[in-house]
Amino acid sequence: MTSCGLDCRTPTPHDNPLQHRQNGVWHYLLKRILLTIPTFVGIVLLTFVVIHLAPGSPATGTVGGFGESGVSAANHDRLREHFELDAPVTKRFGRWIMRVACFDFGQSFADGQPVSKRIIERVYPTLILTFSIIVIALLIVIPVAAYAALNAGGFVDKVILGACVGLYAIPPYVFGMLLILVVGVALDWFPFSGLTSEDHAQMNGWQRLVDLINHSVLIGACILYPLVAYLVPFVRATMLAVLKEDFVRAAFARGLSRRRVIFRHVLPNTLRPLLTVMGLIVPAVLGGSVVLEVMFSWPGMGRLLYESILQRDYPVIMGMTVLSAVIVLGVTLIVDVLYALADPRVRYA
Amino acid sequence: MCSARKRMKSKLRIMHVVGVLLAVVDSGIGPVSAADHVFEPIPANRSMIDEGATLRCRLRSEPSSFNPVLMFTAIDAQFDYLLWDRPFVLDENLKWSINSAVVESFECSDDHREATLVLKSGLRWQDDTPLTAADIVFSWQRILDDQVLARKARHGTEQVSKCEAVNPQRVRFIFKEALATNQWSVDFPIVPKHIYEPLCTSDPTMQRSDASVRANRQPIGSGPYRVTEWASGERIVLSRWEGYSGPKPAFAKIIFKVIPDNNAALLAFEAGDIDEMSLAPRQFAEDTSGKQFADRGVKIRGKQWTNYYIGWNVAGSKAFLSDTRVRKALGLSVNRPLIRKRVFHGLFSESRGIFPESFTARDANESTSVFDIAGAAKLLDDAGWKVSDDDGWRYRDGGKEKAGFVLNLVAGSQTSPRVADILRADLRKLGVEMTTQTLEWSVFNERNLAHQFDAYLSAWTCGPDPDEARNLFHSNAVENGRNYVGYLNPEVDALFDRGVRETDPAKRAQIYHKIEQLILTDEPYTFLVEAPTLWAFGHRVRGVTLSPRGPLHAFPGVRGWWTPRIPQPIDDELRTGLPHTDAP
Amino acid sequence: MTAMNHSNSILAFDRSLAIDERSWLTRGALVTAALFVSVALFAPLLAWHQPIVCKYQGTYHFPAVADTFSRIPLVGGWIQKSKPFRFPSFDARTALDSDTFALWPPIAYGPSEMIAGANLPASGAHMLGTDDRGRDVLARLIHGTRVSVRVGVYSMLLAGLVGIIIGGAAGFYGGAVDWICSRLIEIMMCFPAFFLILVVMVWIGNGVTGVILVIGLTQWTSIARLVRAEFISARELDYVDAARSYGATGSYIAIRHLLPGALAPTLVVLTFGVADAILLEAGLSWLGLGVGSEMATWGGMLRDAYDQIRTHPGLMVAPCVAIFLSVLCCHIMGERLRRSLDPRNSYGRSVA
Repeated sequence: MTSCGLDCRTPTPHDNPLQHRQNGVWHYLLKRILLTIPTFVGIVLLTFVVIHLAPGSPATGTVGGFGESGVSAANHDRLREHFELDAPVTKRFGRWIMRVACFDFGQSFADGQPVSKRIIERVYPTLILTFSIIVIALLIVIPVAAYAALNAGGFVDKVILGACVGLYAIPPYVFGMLLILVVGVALDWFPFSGLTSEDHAQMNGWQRLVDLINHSVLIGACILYPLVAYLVPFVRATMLAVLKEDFVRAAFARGLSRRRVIFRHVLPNTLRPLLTVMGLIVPAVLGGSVVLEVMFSWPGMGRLLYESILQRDYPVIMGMTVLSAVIVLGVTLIVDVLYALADPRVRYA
Repeated sequence: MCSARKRMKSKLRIMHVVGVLLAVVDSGIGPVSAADHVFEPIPANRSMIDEGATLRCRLRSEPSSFNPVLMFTAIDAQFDYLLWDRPFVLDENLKWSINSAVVESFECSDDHREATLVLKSGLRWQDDTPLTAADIVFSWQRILDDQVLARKARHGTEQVSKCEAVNPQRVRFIFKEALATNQWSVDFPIVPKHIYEPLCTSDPTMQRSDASVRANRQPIGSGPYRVTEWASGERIVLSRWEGYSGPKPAFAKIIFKVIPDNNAALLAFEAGDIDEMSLAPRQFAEDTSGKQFADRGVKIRGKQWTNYYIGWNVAGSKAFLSDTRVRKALGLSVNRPLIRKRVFHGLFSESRGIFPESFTARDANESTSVFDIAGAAKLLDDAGWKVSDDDGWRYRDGGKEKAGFVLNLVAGSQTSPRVADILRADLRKLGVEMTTQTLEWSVFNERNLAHQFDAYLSAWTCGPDPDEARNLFHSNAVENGRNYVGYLNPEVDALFDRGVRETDPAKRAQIYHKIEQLILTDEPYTFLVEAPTLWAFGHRVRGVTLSPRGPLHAFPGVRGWWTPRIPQPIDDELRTGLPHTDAP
Repeated sequence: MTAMNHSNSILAFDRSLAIDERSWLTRGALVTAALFVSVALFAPLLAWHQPIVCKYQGTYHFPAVADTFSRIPLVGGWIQKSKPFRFPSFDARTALDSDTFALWPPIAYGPSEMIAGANLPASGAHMLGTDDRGRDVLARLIHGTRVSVRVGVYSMLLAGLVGIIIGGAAGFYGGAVDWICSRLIEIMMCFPAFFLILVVMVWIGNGVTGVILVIGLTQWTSIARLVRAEFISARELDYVDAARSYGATGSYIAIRHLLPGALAPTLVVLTFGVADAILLEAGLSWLGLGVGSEMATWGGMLRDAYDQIRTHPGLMVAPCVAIFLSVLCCHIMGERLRRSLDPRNSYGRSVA
């Protein structure tokens, strides 16, 4: 869920730092940090209440298999007792808070492992993939968008924009399936299942890295393309707007070289709105895509959350909620702070 | 000479291919396949076996636990016989049998109240501690301990009222009652006492403390394999335990790869990433008919004791479904031939009863399913549900109560919405309005347990003993089992209670035949189709046995699989159906 | 679920791509959108299992026409199909003999009719072939348009309503209300939407209504933020002060003065939102939680086709193209709207 302001009037997610310039940037930062606390509490509380009130329970989510012949009221009662389902929601929330206060997120209902361990195993791949994809996306987006903006209206510009719209309108799972069939099966260039080869443990560091990259290329491409398709027109439009600004005209008028104007004046001012957008995109990408992770048998966070929800694995769901809230709020905070620091009106106040 | 033999073999195989085609048409049952080599049992001459080979299996999702006392899902059960040894096992016909690698002797008293088990000497756990009668007694205590969530293992074991170690080799079981099912009751898993007893003092649940969790995930088992790697969400690796005293299994390593999506799994199979997978009906009928698949493996179809059915809420608030005539009419409007053809690609057979043939004295020609819309209309008319002149739907005695129901489906199933579409169209013709509601598994179960539904579509796999059906049909099971539809028939109850005490197999079969007839008459469930096992195996796999629960969930299961040592060269001319082995 | 929700088009065209009234791009988008909407409105006249007009037992009947209009909200209740045709058991195909007069829709099949053989290739009778259940693909595509347009439009109306109320309250009252509403928006942005989907699906049932509610209730945050910002900036403007000095009440100012200014940019966001709603519906269907199987939807068609991608890859094309075109249309129209409403839309040629 992102919202990004091509429109300069769209405010940053939080209060405009300009309002605080009298009190200085530190005051703003402090206020900004304190504001995340109620949001964090709200997210956690709301998620807790909703998952516990949602229909279905861990006791019914795990019925099935050959154990079905053992379905009995006695068994069901024991399960409810085991998962502490009979206590009222308030009491359960109290217990959970007490445990979390000691950094104990409890045990997964699904396999008994500590929640923190279970989540950490899945966080690494997702985290690494997300950040490498964002870096790659930026490396693609900025030059392409800059080229398009500087040649606005030209044939190449139109082709780039057309391609972006086209890519954006393709659902990722259709693209993913095509990738598997063409690149994975027919051409056999990359593996399309899992994150590591079975002999991963015996490899040396370099081979391991290559192995991980090999396994992440296809799913990475599926996450990358909508991002690029979305960002290129955005950056292009921002840059076009900047190019029209008076200070750029003035820079040209002063006879500065085209290269110098673009790198010293245009690009930095283009990147600032991009920063805001990235702050909103990072969490969306980090959440992972259930559909893609299932399709590529990729052990990421999206699949873990989906499976946990289906099994009503409350401790894991809550652990993931806390983690994602921390990441989302953290990233927004960092972006806001960077934005404030980058804004000369705030910096020199 | 060798080549001539191969040539003949291949001819035989071509005939089998024809056989499969015929079988698909006439819905023949039994292990039909184009490739008998898959069933070739493990040879006595070990030099023919590649004992260093790795087997790659597909896992749909991850298991919950390796502790057999806590295991309860079908995924867990895949690991049971590999990691653990038991005195008793289910053989490929799901018959109760004695595991000769563990048991010296087993005797049951004539009055069926007492049994004695003598273990072989020299049995060991994987850490070289001796496996003794004390372990069995300890396991029995744990299973019956209320603090342990032994969901599956507890079933039946409750009938053992006393289990005592006479000496380190000898265990005596005393049963609560003299039942025909007592032999099942002694078939419970065994866990190492020396590992779990110290853990249980601080954590009697066997799964709360970190130490217990570690013991459950890296178990010290008694079977021929041990867990050597578990990469979350990706794979589980089992390696052969060379100290195993029983028959040595062929594969040195078994890698279970977690591939949740069926389409992705088939692609992985064709890429050679996995050696076996279960196939969806569509995959069996269509996706696997190309050369890509034939190059990589063969597909197998076998009988399975699984029936798809619709459960009607007999005791629910809908008067419509409480009427036996109405349920009969609904049963008559199920177009099974079309469902077979369109949904199950002709691979499934029409459901003939609730028990497999071997459990009942059913007449082989007895037909249970008829498609008769006119007959159904007449039954509904008789029951007072008449077609309205105004809108064409049926209403009860010309009143406001419309004939119709909501059919609950499980989300994610590819077949059940297709079955529902066919049924809906036929019921429309009848003036009965069926709507569907797709519920996610947990909610589906919750509604069923609370009896809050009109009808649901599900499948039932019959257990190894007909008495397990008590859980679906006995009135006790309304509140305490899976009789979600609230079916009450004192006659059926009495027959179940008689059947479980009858020890003569022939008389037992008569009783269950009677039960089956009564249930088919009352029609609390409408049985639709019988699902076969559909499986794909790589060309190198041998020694597969197909049980009525598929190839994995019976003994010896994967333990009996093997792959030949010498890769057989492929003769292009003979390619069709000829087994070939990938480079090890 | 599938895509990110964007409050701005990816088609941030400038004058160089000339999206104005006269450009072929705008015209094309408008025509396509009009086509989609009319296909949605008149689906039964294009593909239906009953004729448009026919003579049956001496009288004329208009079954497909009646079905078209009986689904319009409010008015629909007054229209009833004539007698034998509204009976569920009545099969017009067999009841009408060939020599009686009957004008059939161009595609004489309903979307859920399992009439033909399965997986037939494209032919004269079935222009896009049939799917694995023997249903006409073109008929499903046409009726899927109906669902997609409904899902897109209604869910965005819902999201717009919620967003305007919450964002408007935040922007207008400021202070504590603003604080609470802003936190609510932030919480909603981080909340795992999947639970909401499950809860709504179970409480409402998985029909079109369920999907509309789910999308509407999760996608309002960007609108709320936009409306809030608009209200805050407009609140300080002179004409609002003037209105206040007349003694106008708060709600009067909010509705008469602040809302119109916020509506225009909201409308732009909503237009883009329609595209995302269509993609979201497809994503829900992929997980088996979308509109049930009895209704044709583009997402559901795509899901069914995915299972057959190896044997009948052609089935993917129709729903893919439909989704693609509708998303494209929404973005072009949204961008056009945005530019006509944006006072600073005088982009000149770039100086470089």
